[in-house]
Amino acid sequence: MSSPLLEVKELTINFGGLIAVNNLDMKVNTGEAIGLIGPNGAGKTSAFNLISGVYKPTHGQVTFNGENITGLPPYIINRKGIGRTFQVVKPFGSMTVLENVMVGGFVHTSKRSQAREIAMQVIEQVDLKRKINSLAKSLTLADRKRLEVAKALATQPKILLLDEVLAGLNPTEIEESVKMIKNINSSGISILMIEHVLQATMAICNHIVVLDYGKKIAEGTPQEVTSNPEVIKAYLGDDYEAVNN
Amino acid sequence: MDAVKTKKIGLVVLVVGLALVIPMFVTKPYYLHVITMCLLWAYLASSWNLFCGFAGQLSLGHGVFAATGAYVAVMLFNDYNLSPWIGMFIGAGAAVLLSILIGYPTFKLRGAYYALATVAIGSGAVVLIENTQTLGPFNMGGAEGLIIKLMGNAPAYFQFMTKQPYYYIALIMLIIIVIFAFWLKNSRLGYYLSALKEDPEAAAALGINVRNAKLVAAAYSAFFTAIGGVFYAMLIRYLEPHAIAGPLMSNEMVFLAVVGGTGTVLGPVLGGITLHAISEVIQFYFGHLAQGLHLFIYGLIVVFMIMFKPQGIIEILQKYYNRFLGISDRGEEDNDVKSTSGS
Repeated sequence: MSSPLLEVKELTINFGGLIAVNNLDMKVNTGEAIGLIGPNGAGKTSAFNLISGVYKPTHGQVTFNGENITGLPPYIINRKGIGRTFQVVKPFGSMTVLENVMVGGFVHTSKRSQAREIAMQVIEQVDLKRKINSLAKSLTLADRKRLEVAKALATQPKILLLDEVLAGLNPTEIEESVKMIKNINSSGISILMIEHVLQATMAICNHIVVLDYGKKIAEGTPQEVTSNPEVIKAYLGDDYEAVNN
Repeated sequence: MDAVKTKKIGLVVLVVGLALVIPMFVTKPYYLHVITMCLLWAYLASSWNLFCGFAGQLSLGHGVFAATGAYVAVMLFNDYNLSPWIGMFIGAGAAVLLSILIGYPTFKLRGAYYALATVAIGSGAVVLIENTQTLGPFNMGGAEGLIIKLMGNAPAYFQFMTKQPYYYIALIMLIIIVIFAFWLKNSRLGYYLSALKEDPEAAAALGINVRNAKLVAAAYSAFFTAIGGVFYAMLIRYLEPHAIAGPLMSNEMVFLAVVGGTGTVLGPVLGGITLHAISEVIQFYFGHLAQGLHLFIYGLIVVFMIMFKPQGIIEILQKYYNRFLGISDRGEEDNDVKSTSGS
């Protein structure tokens, strides 16, 4: 059995007294799409920040492609092949969509023409061609989220960490985005996604990890996870159980 | 598309051509000196812009680099007879080293804190120079300043008896920095700077080493600023610590670039030329009415520009420029329509 692409072991970080991520173990194999879900404040984004190098863990280890990348700075982690998007989107507002994506494209080349070529490909892939010369700050939320994905994709990652790229979208937009993420995944890029839109997560991911108060409380197929009483309790509270009994 | 290109080339030829013949019509040395200073300030504002405009870092201490270049070149010239043509590159090298020494710790600071650090460094430099009479074998002049040794008409030593050569040197320097800025803006580093200017965290997530990008850009900026400092020294033939290292120099670069339009290639050039010309004119007409009145008027102009045209003069001109080229102002939307109907 080959080793996983991304492996997280005993990952822990505390901010003062608050343990945001507590002893998290998780694996993503090449080509897999994994969902990371949990109530607000469960530590999902903190886990992303630990993997992508924004935070240094208090304890634990992140291994990527067999290499220990714990505590490396974000730009090196990106160059090793981990792309990420931000929950609060971060477009470069006064640059055009093409220029935004070219910034990512420049990571592996210093040639403008090559960066442009990479960017054009990615923009097509996320269906933003109609907005290619628009300033990023003029985009709708749905397009901004696509731009986030495009920028990360342009750095040619092996795995893409998607932080709530479906949040705030209407049903049609969600449907389109789900298709887009599936396409990215089937092009060979592994996906690790944080998402509150559960149906969408289930449509994309074959494996789901559930966090609550920084701890992993369940994992498995979407069906296993949604019927797990711990998960139901985390999402709906103890009262739900009381009614059920 | 070809017509646009022809017009662009035509405009460049026209502007450069005009600039080349100016000394034939402006023969009074005083006027030519003023015009040369306009070019120098356009050059210095552009040097500041290479880092501070492109990367969105507010340095209020760039005089330090002008002073480093000027003092190194002048001291080597005064005491060792080394031609300033060579000394200026040694001075610029020293400024680059200094920019790295300053940048390494200060680039961690964000926003106002970085600006404050540069103010402190600028003020410190003035005090340091004022209190240094000699540096090793070199005479630094201390608070009295440093007079540049006179050689008569000595082109090999960057000294001319007429103003014309200085004008042409300033013009060439300005052309070089515009070409360099254009190249930088369109290079990988230019894209990186634009990105980190808006969001350093997002830039880092795209594989950009934010601190290195800043260090390289600051080094370019320091290099060109130092060369400008040397030119200033050779033109004025006197180095006064406050004028070259202090806020007079540092702030002026910022004002000119901001009024012209920071982060653009031509903004600081426009700002440098027009605003410096205006400041000379108001000094000429109002300077004698009341002490400091011309500075007050100058300050008002800067404030009004920042309030009403924060993108700078370039923003106003862009519209006319596009109209001249025959590009619609709403070029963006037009492109959108084209690409949608094409796909």
